[in-house]
Amino acid sequence: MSAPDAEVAVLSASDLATRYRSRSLAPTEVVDALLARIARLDGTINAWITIAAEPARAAARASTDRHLRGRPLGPLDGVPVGLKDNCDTAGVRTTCGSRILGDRVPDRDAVVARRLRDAGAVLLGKTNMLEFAYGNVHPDRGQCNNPWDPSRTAGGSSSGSAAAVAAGMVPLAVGTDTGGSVRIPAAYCGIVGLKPTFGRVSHQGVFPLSWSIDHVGPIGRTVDDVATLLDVMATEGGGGGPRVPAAAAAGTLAGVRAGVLRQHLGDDLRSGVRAAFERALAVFRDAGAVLEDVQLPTWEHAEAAHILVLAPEASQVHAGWLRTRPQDYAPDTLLQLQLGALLPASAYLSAQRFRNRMAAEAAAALGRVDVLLSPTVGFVAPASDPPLGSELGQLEGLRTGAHCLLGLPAVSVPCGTAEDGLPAALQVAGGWGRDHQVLGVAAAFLRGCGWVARLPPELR
Amino acid sequence: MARWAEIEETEVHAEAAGGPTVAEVLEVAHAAGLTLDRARAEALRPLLQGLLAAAAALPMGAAAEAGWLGDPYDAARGPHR
Repeated sequence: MSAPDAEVAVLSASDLATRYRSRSLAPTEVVDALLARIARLDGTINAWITIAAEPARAAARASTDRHLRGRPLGPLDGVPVGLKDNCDTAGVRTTCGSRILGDRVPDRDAVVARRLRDAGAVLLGKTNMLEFAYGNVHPDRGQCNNPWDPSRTAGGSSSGSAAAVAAGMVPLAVGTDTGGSVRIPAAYCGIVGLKPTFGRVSHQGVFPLSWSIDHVGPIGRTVDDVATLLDVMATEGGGGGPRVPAAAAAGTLAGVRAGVLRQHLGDDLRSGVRAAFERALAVFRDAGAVLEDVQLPTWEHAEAAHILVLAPEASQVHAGWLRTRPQDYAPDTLLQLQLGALLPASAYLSAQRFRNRMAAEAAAALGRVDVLLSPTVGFVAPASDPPLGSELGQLEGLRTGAHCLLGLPAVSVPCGTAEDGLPAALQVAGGWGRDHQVLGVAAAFLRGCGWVARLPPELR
Repeated sequence: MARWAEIEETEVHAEAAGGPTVAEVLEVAHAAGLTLDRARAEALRPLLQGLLAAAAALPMGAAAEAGWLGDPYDAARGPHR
C-alpha cells in the first residue's frame, strides 16, 4: 500500500524516523509515495536527471526488514536522499549535468554516497545541476525550476537537490558548494543548506570544480535534518566538533555574539530582502544576542580572489576536453573554461596568497564574535541562472564566495518572504570546525521567529 | 622577501595596464592547445583584462603578511588545523 504522496511529502527525516520506529509507516511505502510524487511533479520542476527507482525500492525493502527486526542502522535508515549528479554512484549514471559525461556510469561510490548507503539511507536518484557546477544550464538537461514559482530558477549549481527538497520529493539531498552552490539554491527555494568546514565531508568521488575551494554539503527542510545528514556525511577527523544534532537542538541565541557584515548590506540589496534581514536581526536582538557591526576589508576583494582561484583550477580539470570536445559544453561554460586556461600563473598565485590575508582577518573577527550574519543573496530567485561573469552573476555570489575561499562553515536558512512573495534567506557563518555552533544558532533563530517548514501551496 | 613581492606585483600591474591584445590571446591559446577563432579571442580579451586588473588590485600587503603559498589549502583549513 502506498501512502498518499502529499502526506509523505511534508514529513522531515526526523518525522520519518519516528514513524518507522512506531511502525506507522514503512520505508517501502515512503519510497513508493515519493517516486509517485516525482512522476507527478518533475515535468514542471525538472529536479532529477536519473531516478534510481529499482535500487531505491530494493534498499527500502532491506531497510523495512531492519526496522521490523528492531535493528535500524541509525537515524537515516530508510530515509530517501537525493544526490547531486556530480557525486559518483556505483551502477547509477553520473553526468555532472553535462553532455560530456552524459552516459558515464561509475563503478564505485563517492565516499559520501558510500557513507549514506552504510547508514541505511535510500538513494532515490541523481539531481539536476548546472553543468559541471560551473554556473550554466546545459541545454541537454534544461533549467531546474523553482517550486515556489516554476517560471524562475531554483538557483545553482545544486539546483535539483534544493528544488527536490523544497517540492517535497525527498526530505534530504546532498549538494556541493564552491561559491554558494548549496546556499544560493537553498535560499531561493526557502529551505536549509549548509556548506560545512572545508574537509569535513570528503570530496573523494565528487567531480571537482575547483579543488581548493570545493565543499560537499547537506540540504533539508529543517536544521535538525541537515545536522543529522551532516553527521552521517562527515569524515572522521574532518573538522571536529561534537555530534551535531544534539548541539543544534540545544542552540540558543541568548548571549550569542553576532557580527553583522554591514559591507554585505550594500545598494544591490533589494528592499524586500533588506527588510527580511532586518527582521531577522530583530529576532536575534529580542532573544538576547549581542549584535555588533563587523567590517572585513579584505572581503571587499573576495569576489575577485574567488574567480581568480576558481577559473584556473576549473580549466585545469577540463584541460583535456577543452581540446577534444569544446563543442559539447554549453556556450557560457566553454567561455569560462577558456578564460581560465588563459590566466597567468601569477594571477592565480596572487589570489591563493591573498586567501591567507582574508583568513587572518576573519580569524581575528571570529575571536570577537561567535557568528557572522548576512543575507545569503541580495535578491529573490531570478528567471534564470545568471552567468558567472554577468553583473547579476557577480551579485548573486557576492555574499557566499568568501566562505568557500576560507573554508568557514556557513548555513542558509529562510528568513521570511521578500519581493513577489518569494523566500529570502539569512546566512549564519562561524569559525573553522564550528559547524555545530552555526547550526545551533540557525536552529535557535528559526525557533525564535516561529518558522515552520512548509511546501509551496501549489505542491501540497 | 619584500623585494620579490614588489617584483611580482609590478609584473601583474604591467600585464593589466595595457591588457593582452587579441593576437596575444590567440598566441597563448594556441600554445595551450586550445582552438580559438578571432571572434572568440575578441570576446575573451576584455574578460581576461578584467581578471588581470582584479589580480593586480588585490591588496597583498607585505609579503610576510600575505604569506607564501606553501600549502594551498592553508587558508581553507583555517588556523584551527
